[in-house]
Amino acid sequence: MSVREHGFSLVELMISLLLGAIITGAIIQVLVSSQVTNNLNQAVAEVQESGRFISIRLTKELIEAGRYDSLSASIDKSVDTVVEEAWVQNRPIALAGDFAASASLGSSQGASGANDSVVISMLDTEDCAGNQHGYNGDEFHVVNHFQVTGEQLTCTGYDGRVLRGLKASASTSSSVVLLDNVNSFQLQYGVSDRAEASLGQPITYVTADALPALRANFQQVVAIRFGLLLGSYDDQVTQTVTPEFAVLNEKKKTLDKQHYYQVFTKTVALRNVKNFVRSSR
Amino acid sequence: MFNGAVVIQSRDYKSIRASVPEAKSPTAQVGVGLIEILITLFILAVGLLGVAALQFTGSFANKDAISRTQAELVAQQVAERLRAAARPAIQGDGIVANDAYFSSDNYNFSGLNCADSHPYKCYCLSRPGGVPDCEGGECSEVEIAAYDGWALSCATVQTNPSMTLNVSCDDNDGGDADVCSAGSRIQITVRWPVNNSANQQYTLNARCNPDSGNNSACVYKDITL
Repeated sequence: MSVREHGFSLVELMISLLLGAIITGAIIQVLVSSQVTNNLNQAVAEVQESGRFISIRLTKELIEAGRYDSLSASIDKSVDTVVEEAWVQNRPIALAGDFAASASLGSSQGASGANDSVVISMLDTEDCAGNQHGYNGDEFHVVNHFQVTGEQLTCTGYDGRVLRGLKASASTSSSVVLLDNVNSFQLQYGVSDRAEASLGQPITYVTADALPALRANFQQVVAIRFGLLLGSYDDQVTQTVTPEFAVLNEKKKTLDKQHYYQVFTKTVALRNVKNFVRSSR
Repeated sequence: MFNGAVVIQSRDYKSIRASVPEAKSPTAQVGVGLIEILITLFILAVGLLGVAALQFTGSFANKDAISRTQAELVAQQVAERLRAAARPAIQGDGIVANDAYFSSDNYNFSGLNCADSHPYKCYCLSRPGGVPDCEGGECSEVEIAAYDGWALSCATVQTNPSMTLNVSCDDNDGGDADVCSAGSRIQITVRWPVNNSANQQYTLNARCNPDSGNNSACVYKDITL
C-alpha cells in the first residue's frame, strides 16, 4: 500500500519543474517582447499622427498668407482698406520692424540649429487661436505667429491693425498650442526674382535672416518650406541605432536612442503671393 | 485535509493500475508522468509559436503602414513643389513646370555615388556636391528642379531606404516645346518593394508594377497643375 500512496518521484518532480520553468520563461519572454513591440508601435503611431496633423494644419494656415480680397463684402472698413491691401500683399511674411506697435515681431531664423519662427499676414475673420478681436465675424488683417516654446509648437494670433498702430487693442492676443514634442522647427522661404522679371517661381530658398535684403530688392516670398523633427514621448522605446536627421538647411542632428524620431517636411506654394508677383510684372 | 488528498490520489492510481495491470513497480509510473508533461510542452510550444508569428505579422503590417504614410506625404509634397515651380505656359492655356521635373535623372540620387548602404545617411545629412546650391545662390528652373528632386528623394528614403519616387507626364500636346504641356496629367508614383508571405498577402497593382517581375506596393497620384 505504501507504494500505491506515492505521488511523483523526486526525479519526475524535478523534470516537470524544469519543463514548467522553461515554459513559463518562454511565456514571459513572449509577453515582454510583445510589450516592447507594442510600445514601439504606439510611439511610431503617435509621431506619425502628429506629423500628419501638423502638416495639414500648417499648410492650411500658411497657404493663405498674403490673401486680401478687397471686393469682399464682409471686410471691416474702419481703416483704409486700400492701404491695408497693399500692406498685406507686399508683406505676406512679416519681418522685424514691419509693425509700428511691435517692432520685434517678425519671422526669425534661429542661430546654429535653434528653432525658427514665422509671422504671416492675411485677410480673415479670425486668427489661428479663433480670436475675432472684436470684429464680430467681419474680415480684418490677421497676423499669425508660429513659434516653438519649450517643446511645444504654438501659434499666437494678432490684429494687424493694432500691430500697425492704427487702433487700440479690443482684446488680448491669445495663443494656442498646436503640437507637443517638437524637437526642431525649421523654415525656408522660396523667394522670387525681382518683380519685373519674375513669373512667380522661387529662384532661391533662403532663411529668414536673408529676407530683409531680398525684400528691399523687390523679391517676394512665393513659397514656404517647413520642416519639423518630431519625437515620441519619454520612456517608450529603446532604439538600436543612434538616429541622425537633417532638417532642411540645418546641420545634421544626432539624437538619443530613447525616443522615436521622424522628420516631416512640406513645401507650400503661396498662391496669393505668386499671382500677385506674376500680375505686377 | 491532507489525508483526504492522499486518499483521492491513491484511488486515481488504483484506476490506472486497473487498466495497466503489469505496471507494478514505481518506475512504470515515471514513464506515464513524463509523457504527459511532454505532450503538454508540445501543445504549449505550438501555441507559443502562434503568438510569436502574430508578432511578426504585426511588425510587418506596421512597417507597411509606415511606408504608406510616408509615401502619401511625399506624393503630396511633389504635387505642391510642382505648383510652386510652375509658370504660365507660353503655348496652351494653364501653367507648366520645367521639363527637368519629369526626368528620372533628378530623382532617387541618380548620378550620385556613396559607399554607405543607407541612402538617407549618404545623401541627405548634408547636400551632396552634385546637387545645385539653391540655398546660397540663385538657381535657374533646371537647377531648382534638380534641387527639388534631391530634397524629395531624401523625404522618400527617410523611413524606408528602398522606396523610390517617379514623376512622369502624359503630354497632351506633342507638338509644342514642353515635355508636359499645360493641362497634361502628371503621374506621381512612390513605390516600395513588398514580399508576399503566408501571413501577409499583397494584391499587386499593375500601376505599381509597370515591369514584369516587380513586386511593389505604391502610392499613386494623378494630377494636373
